[in-house]
Amino acid sequence: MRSEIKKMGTRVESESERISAAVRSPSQRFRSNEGSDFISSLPDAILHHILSNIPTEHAIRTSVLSKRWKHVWRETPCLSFHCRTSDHPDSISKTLATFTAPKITSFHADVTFNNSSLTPSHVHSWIELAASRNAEIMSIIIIIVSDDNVLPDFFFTNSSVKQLRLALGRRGNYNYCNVIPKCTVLWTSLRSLSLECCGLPDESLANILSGCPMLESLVLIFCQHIHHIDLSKSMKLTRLEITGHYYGPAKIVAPHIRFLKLIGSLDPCVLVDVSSLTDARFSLSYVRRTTTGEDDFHQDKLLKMLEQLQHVENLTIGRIVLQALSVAELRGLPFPQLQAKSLTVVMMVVRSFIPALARLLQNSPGLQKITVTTDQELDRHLRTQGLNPDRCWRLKYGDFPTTEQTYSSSSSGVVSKLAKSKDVVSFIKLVLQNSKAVETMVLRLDGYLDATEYQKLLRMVPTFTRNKNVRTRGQAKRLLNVLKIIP
Amino acid sequence: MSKIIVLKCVGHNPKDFELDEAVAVQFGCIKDLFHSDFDAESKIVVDVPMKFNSYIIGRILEFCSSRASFSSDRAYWEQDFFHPCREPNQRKRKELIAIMEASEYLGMESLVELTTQSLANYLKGKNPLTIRSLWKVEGDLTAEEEAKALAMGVAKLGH
Repeated sequence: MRSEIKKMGTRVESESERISAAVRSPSQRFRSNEGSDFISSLPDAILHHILSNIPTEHAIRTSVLSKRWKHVWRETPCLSFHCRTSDHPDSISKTLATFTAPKITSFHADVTFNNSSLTPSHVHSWIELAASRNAEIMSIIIIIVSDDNVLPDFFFTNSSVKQLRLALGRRGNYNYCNVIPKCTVLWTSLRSLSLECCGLPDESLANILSGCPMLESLVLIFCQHIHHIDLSKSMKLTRLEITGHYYGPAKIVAPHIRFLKLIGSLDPCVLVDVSSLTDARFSLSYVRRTTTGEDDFHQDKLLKMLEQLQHVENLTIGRIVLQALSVAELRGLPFPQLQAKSLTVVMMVVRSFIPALARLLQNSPGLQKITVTTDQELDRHLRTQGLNPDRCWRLKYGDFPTTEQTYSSSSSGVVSKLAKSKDVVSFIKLVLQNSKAVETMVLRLDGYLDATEYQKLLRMVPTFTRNKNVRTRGQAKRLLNVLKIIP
Repeated sequence: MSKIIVLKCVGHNPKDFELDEAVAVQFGCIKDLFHSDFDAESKIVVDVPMKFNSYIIGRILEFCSSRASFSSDRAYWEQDFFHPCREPNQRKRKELIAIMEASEYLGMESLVELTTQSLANYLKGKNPLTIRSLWKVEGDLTAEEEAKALAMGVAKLGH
């Protein structure tokens, strides 16, 4: 054994000689000795900072480097580990027992219960380690097969955690375990909470919220069983993000939040009170079919939501919502006036989006900036629903292609891009015609146009921006200050 | 009137660097080095300790001005700024450490973060022997200690 190590040692030395020879360059910026070990001479604090950026299993390997490095990983205030199917939880516990840092800044544990030797008591001991060292940032992923409640009671009464992320499943498997704390939750220092893939009944959420007086941000990703979210007593909570797959809350009461993100659910929800909101993003994932086979776009609900979002300064609207709003516009339903200063829409330059966009622009007299992101997904749904080309579209909104005319996919699955730059130009004109105050427009094309069409479009850009004052027949054209096109 | 901060570097190549106040504030520079009369002065002179030579400070200011002008792309900076050559060599690694120390001294959190992350990438996922050769660490553990440490490192907390 010893001779092997010695052999490795000599190999290492000759390699390092080769490195120093290569480095002897004419520029004498670094005159210091090339052969010295300058990383080991760094103070502990800096080494801890460096090791905090890598998973603990890699940090442990540094203990082999030299005497100086033997205990560095043990005192690094950061733990991050995985207990996978092939790992032995007992040996993990044994290694953790040698961890001596008095304080943990960040703790991350990813545990999969497929491992037959893993018991809840292992998980409890690891969570206890984090709690006993006053971990400030905790991120725990526990994938359980059965519905056992693996979270110990003491997990819910923790006065040092400031940022907590808890995931009880992986996206795509739909039987999520519930988070139902049996005791009163007391997370007195918690500022940011993220719950992923959990079942979260309303009472549990209320229990959690009442135990987090300092909570500023709540993120719920793929959580089930949520119906009503009442944040009226959470004074400091200013940020709410909900991402669902089909499930989303039915009702939200949140008078103090300033930022709201609602994406991915099937049904629009009722916003009872969001009076402090300045930023809102919402989109739906699909359009639900009613039992009679008609599409149920929930136009009334969507318009009511829009009404609640009237005062929002920065509004982002997703694709499906925009299409549903187009149907509403064609049916002549009244749209609320909007106070938005910046509007971002996800759409393609095809007919089905145009009515809603035109109406939104007309109803937003204070709008200064509009951003358009195109979405490449083939909209199969549209073709089977009632949004067929209609004569009145052409007369009112200008000529835009249908989805089929923009994309065509052959049987081999190749999508050919037929979008034309002139459609984008018509679109820009539409925006200018329908809005009085828009100064900035950003178009994120994401490969929507092919290269030649994109070049054609670029050549048109100067005609829309303020540098060239183009006058047509005595009437000055509406011009933008900034037109940014991102390919 | 915006203030100028002058960084005086000493050493074998003494040089003065001028830093605009707005840039300094953006990167959180030098807050701790200011005295209470900052507002009164229009020009602040900061003496940079000898160990940070003018080359390092120059690189840091290069980073500041470029970053201020376009939206940051971390991967780009890690590659191009810190290691312009494909095979990062010894000198560049030493430079990386020097930049980290200097930016810590100047209180530039974002740059400290970036440099620590780059250094961490050098340690992550690497065989200890590779680390030893990269950084010239002198192995001074006895054979048993090494064997023990190796055994622990390999089998625990994941493979």
